[in-house]
Amino acid sequence: MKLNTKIVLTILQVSLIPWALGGFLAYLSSQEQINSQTYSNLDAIAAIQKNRLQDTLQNKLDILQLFTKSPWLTAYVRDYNAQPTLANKKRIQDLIEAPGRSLGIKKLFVMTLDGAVIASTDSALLGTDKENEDYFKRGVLANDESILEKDAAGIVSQYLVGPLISNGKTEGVMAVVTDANDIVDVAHDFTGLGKTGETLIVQKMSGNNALFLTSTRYDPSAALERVVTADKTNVPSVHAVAGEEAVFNNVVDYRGVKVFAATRYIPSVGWGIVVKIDKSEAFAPVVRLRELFFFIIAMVGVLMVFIGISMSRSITGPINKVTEFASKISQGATQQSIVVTSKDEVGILAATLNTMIERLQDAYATLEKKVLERTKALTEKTEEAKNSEKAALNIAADLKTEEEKLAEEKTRAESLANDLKKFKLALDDTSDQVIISDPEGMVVYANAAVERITGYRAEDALGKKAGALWKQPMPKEYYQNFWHTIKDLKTTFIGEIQNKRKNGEIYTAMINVSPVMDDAGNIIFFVGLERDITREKEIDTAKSEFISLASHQLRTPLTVVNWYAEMLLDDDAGKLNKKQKEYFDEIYQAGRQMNEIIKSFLHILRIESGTQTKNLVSTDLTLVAKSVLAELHLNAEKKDIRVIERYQKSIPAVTTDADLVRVITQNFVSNAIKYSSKGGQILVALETVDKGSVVAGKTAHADSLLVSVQDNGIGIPAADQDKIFTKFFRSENAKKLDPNGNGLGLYMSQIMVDIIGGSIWFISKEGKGTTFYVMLPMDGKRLV
Amino acid sequence: MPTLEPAKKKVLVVEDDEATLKALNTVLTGAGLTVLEAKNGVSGIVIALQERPDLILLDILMPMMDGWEMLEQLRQKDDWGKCVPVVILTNLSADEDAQIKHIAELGPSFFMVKADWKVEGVVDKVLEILNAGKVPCP
Repeated sequence: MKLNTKIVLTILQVSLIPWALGGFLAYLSSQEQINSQTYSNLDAIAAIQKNRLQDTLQNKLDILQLFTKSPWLTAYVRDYNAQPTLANKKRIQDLIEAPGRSLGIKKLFVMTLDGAVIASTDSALLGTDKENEDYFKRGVLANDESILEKDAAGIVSQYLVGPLISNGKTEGVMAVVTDANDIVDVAHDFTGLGKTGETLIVQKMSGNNALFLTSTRYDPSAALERVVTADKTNVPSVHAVAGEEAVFNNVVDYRGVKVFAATRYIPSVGWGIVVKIDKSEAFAPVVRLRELFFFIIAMVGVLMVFIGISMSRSITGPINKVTEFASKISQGATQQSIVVTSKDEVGILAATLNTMIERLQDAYATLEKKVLERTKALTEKTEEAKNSEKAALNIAADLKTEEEKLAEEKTRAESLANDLKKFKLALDDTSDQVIISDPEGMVVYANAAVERITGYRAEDALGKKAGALWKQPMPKEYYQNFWHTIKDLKTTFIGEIQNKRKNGEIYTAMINVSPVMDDAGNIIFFVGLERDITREKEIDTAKSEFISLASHQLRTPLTVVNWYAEMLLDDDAGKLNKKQKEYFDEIYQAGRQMNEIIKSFLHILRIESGTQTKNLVSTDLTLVAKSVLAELHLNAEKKDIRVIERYQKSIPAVTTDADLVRVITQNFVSNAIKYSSKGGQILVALETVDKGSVVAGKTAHADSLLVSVQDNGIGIPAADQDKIFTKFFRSENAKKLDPNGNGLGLYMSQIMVDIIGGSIWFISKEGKGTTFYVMLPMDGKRLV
Repeated sequence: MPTLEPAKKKVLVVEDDEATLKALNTVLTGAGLTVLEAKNGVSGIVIALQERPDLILLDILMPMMDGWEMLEQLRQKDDWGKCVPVVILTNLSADEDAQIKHIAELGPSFFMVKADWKVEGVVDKVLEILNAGKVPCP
C-alpha cells in the first residue's frame, strides 16, 4: 500500500466514529422535543386566535352600541311609540341613513317591540314583521353579537342586535347587519399551521353539538352546515364547545384524520375554537432530521478523504520539487528559482539553492549595464548634431513671416484711412439694430444686428421698404403717428413696438427713428435704432411674480402669530390672567402693525416696479373724501378732533385713478389726526383751480382740482421740510408723538401723484400746523 | 367610541401651512362644524369629492396643485363641484392681475386675505355663508 493511501484511511477512521455516535443521540432527543414543541405551538396559536376573535367581537359590539347608546336614537324611538306619526318616523330614518353606509355595515333597521320594522337603510325591509326571528327575540333581551346568518346566495352575515332603552324602558330593538369577513379571516389565517393545520370556529348548539361557523380548509361549504355531534368524544370540536381549554394528542378531526389539537372557548357568545395540525406533518421534521444526519455523515467522509490526500501531498511534494530543480541547475539553467514554502528541512535546502542562483544572476547583470551606458552616450552625440541643423532652418522661416506681417500692416493702414469704412465697421458691430433708409423708407444700410435679431440677412433688407420686412403687427394708427412724426413734424420718434422676426416670432423693441436733413431742411435719410427689450419685459414679469410670492411668504407666519394670539386672548386655550392678557395683547397689536407695514411695503414695491398701473375712471372726488373721513372718524373722535369739510359746490368729475387718489387723501387725513393734539381741528377742502392761477405758492398749468387737508398740529420743523417726502424719513417731533409710524405714507403719496400726474406739496410751520395739497389736472393727462 | 348624533355641517380646509390649518380647525370645530383637512390641491380634490363638504376654505399657494387649479377641476367635475361654496383664504392680494382673472372665472363666494382678518372673522364669514342656505351657482 502507498504512503498516501495509508494516511487517508487512518484519518477517515478517527473522524467518523464519534460523528455516528453523537448523531444518533441527537436524533432521539429531537423527536421528544418536536412533540412538546408542537403542543406549545398549537396552544400559543389557539390563545392568539381567541384574542383576535374577542377583539373582533368587541369591535362589533362597539358598532352596535353606537346605535343602542345614542340618546338621540332612543329618544326618537320613544317619541315614535308615544306618537306614531310619519314625521317621527322620518326623524329616525334620517338619523340612521348616513352611518348605515359606513363602518362596513351592510344594512341596519329599527324594530318596535312587536317586531315591526319602522326604519331601515334597506327599504325592502320597511313594514315587515320580524317578531318570530331568532335575532329579534334575542335582541329584546340583551346585546348579542353571536348570530350569523346565511342568505340565499350562501353569503354569511353577522347580525348585531340589542335593545333600545330610554329612561330604563325598552322602546325597540336595533339590528345592525355587517359582513362576517373579519371572523372568516381569523379562521382562514393558517400562519404557523403548516400545510395541513387550521383554525375551526364552532358554535355550541343544543345538546353540546358543535356547528361550524366558517368554511374550512377541506370543506368550503362547512359554514353553518357541518355539525359534529356531542357523542364523538375523540373530536376536539366537541371538547371546545364544552368549554375545555386544553391540548390533545390522540384525537381525530372532523375528517377522521389523526391530529394534534388545542382548544379554546369564548363563553359570551358560546363559540369554541380548535387549532389543529395533522400528525403526519408535525412529525415531518423528525424524518427530515434523519435524512439530514445521513447526509452530513456522507459529506464528512468525502471531506476527510480530501484532507488526507492534501496532507500526504504536502509531505512528498517539496521533496520531488527540490530533486527536479537540482537536476535543471546542473544542466545550466540560471534564470530560475524554486518555490518551496514549507519551513522544514526541505524548505531550508530550497532557500540555499535560491541564494546561489541570485549571485550568479548579479554577476551577469553588472556586465550588461556597462555595455548599455556606452551605447547611450554615443546616441546622444548624434542627436545634438541633428538639433543644430533644425534651429538654422527655423530662423530662416521666422524671417519670412516678419516680411509678410509688414505687408499686412501696410494694407490695414490703407483700409483704416477710409473714414467711412471705419464708421460702417462700428455700426456693423453694435448690438442694437441700425437701419438707414432713404426718404421713401427704402433701406440703404442695415447692420449685422439686424440679422441677429430679426433673422433677415442684411442683403435681403437692402432696397426693400423697411415696414414690409417686419410685417407690421401693430395697429394702423401707430404707423400713421410714426410717419407723421418723422416725415411731417421732422422730429425723432421714440416708442415701444412689436415686430415680427423672420421665423414669425413676435418681439418687443424700443425704437428711435430720426430724420437726417440737408442744409435746406429736406429729408435725405432716416436713421433708425432699434433695441430688443423682450428680455427686459420678461424680467419685469418675473419681478412682479416675485413680489407677490414675497408678500405671501411674509404674511403667512405673521398670520399664524396673530391668529394664535387672538385665540389665546379669546380664552380658547383656557382662561388667561390679567397680566397674560396684557402681554398677549401687546403681541397681537404688534402683529397687526407689522401687517400694515408689509402692506405699505407691497404697495411701494408694486409702484416702484411699475406693476401698479393707472386705472383711469371718471371720479367724484367729493365721494372719495367722504369715504376716507367715514373710515377715519373713529380715530378723530378718540382725540376729540373736529373735522370740517368744505367742498366747493358742483365739483366736476375728474378722470383719474380713484384708488390712488383715495390712498393719498387717506395718508393726508390720517397724518393730520396723528400729528394733532387732543381737541384739535382739521379742515378738508376741495375746489377747482383755473389754468394759470396761483394757489399756495403753486401755479396751475391746466384747469385742475385741488384737495387740501389742513391741521393745527405740531407742524414740520423748517430744517426737515425738504426731506419730508423721502423714504423712511420722520421728523424728530413726529417720532416723539407717535413712535410707530413707518415713514412711508408721504413717500408713497408722492410716487402715486407721479403716476396719475399732478403735484403734491405742503405749507407748514412748527407748532402751528400743516396743510397738504394735491392738485390734479381735470383732463387726467400728465402736467409735465 | 362616539355615539350617533344629528349631522353637523362639514367644512373642508385646504391649507399647506400646518399651524394655520390647526388654528382654523380649532376655531371651526369650536363653532360646531365638522372639519376635514387637506394639505394640497390633490388631496383636497379627492377629499372634496369623497366627503362632499358644505363649504371649502381654500388656500392658493400650495405644493403639488395650487388652489386655483383644484377649484378649476372641481368646478368642471360635476353639478355638486360646480356649485359648492368656496372661500379663498390666502395671503396673495386680491388686486393682482392673476387673482382677479381667476376670481372672475371660478366664482369663489368670498376672497379673504388671511393677514387682514381675525380668525374669528373667518369663522363668522363661514357661518354666514353656511346659514345663508342655497348660494347661487357661479
